Amino acid sequence: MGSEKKDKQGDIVDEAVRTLLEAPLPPGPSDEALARTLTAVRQADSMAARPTLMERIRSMNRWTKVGTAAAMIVAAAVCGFLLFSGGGGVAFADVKKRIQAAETFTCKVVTSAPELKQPMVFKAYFKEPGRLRAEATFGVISIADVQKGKVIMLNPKAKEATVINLADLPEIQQQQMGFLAELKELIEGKPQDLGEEKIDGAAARHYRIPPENQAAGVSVVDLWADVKTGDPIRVELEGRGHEYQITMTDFRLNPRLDDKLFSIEVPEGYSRINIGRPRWKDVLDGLRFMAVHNGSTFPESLAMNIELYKKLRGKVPKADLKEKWLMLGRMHLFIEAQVQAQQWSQWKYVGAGVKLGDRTRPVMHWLPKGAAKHKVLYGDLKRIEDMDASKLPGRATTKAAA
Amino acid sequence: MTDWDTIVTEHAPAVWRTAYRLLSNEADASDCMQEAFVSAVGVARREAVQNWPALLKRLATTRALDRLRARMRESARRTAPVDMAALADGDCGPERRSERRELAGRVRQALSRLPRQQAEVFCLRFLSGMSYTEIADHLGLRANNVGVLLHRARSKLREMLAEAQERPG
Repeated sequence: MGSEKKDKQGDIVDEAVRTLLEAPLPPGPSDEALARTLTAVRQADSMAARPTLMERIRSMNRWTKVGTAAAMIVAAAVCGFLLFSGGGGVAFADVKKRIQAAETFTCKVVTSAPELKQPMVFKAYFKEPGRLRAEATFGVISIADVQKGKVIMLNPKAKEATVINLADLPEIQQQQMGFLAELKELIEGKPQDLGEEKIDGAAARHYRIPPENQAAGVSVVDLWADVKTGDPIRVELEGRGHEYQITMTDFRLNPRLDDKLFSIEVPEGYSRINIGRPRWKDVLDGLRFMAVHNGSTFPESLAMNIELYKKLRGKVPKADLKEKWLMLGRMHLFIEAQVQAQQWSQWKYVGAGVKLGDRTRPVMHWLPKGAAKHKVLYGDLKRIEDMDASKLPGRATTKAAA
Repeated sequence: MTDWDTIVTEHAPAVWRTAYRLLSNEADASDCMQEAFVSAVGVARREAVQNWPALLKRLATTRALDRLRARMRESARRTAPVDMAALADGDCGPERRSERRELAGRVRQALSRLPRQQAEVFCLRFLSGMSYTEIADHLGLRANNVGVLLHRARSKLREMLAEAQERPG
């Protein structure tokens, strides 16, 4: 009860709440709104038949809450650590948007990208409300719980648990909640019905979601659904520019999934690592770090992959390596957050071969929201200039280092 | 068998007001109200509902927060942000109305950025007047958890309402 009294202490929050409570309310709801609601409720109550595939896609509202939030964070935190090469979009978020609603489901996800020497394979589990578990074949397990605002990545070999608080990524959190609006745009447009096909040995209906209905980052989505049950059999999607491809198969809808699978508590015996809030400083420090350990030259790519880790392991004291790796992760998360929240668009890394300290050559540029000119960061990591798009450096690469 | 006509007719005004406080838009509040009642149909199928007002407020709050986040997302796409201001308070002078309007807009934006559960608990407590016990019952939490979530929500809101973001542009 004492804590309830504390709630009443005045401060800006109390004043803010008062403005909401004391603002005059118009009379409502209107008779029309009430009548519409009654109609909708009677309809919902009488609906007994199993919804068709497209009706289930239309009810995908819940999956935006599950998938976009959780999946984007998982992708940014896990896939992004190994996959992210700058501006390519987020795999799981796009995939999740297209899987029809169910209380739980599991599937296999295979992701291919130029940066990867071989495709990444995940077993993915989803459970309402807002929970995702991704088990990578290379051993890392990522779990996201949107309701609790947390993502945890478990490395069973090293007995480490890396924790990300979604509150530290307000841009991503805000962005992913808005995917509901994007999904409504998607399902308002009509997916193309490409007819019946045989897929993975089953008779399936092939739907394609056209590019104009896609959220940023995705080019084409193909979905094959079992003609008898409407359940998805296969989903394929490509990133814009075809820089990544994702295939989802082995769907199981509504399997029984224990809540323990989605626990975001640090397991016993694991050491906890907090990734911390990404800041602009992490971008500068991360770029500098990558250049320093590449012969004072910015690398071909900013991708955080196994090759980079092995290279750094040979150069950075073991005691420092973990912290530096986290810093690089925060660098990527910061950039990803700006891009996904559309605070930055047309972000490009152009630093390959630029000498650290060279204030005449750019290493990255982006277009801030609402701006007419691009911002350009130069090789000294201090100089930032405005530049017309027509004058931006032509050489841009996002390829991973060999 | 649930008498939906009575439930909707009796509780629609309170549900609508809950949504309107967060959204400050009649059409959005009406849509949110409809979604809340349709969701209630699903809940009623799974379990016996003991407290309709509390359930409906919770569903309306959740839906309204979702819309708020979607609106913030949409406004991020535009050059000119959506005006989130509350209606003018008729008892205030123009300058005071403007300040209150601005604060109302900021707190809505801040709420849209809180973690889901924190935002929900905060709104149910301070905008809908639910007790810790009611909130705990409806969200499947312990009363202690509710207190912790509220504390975190308030701290975060305080920070966001006062914070000036540093970014290069």
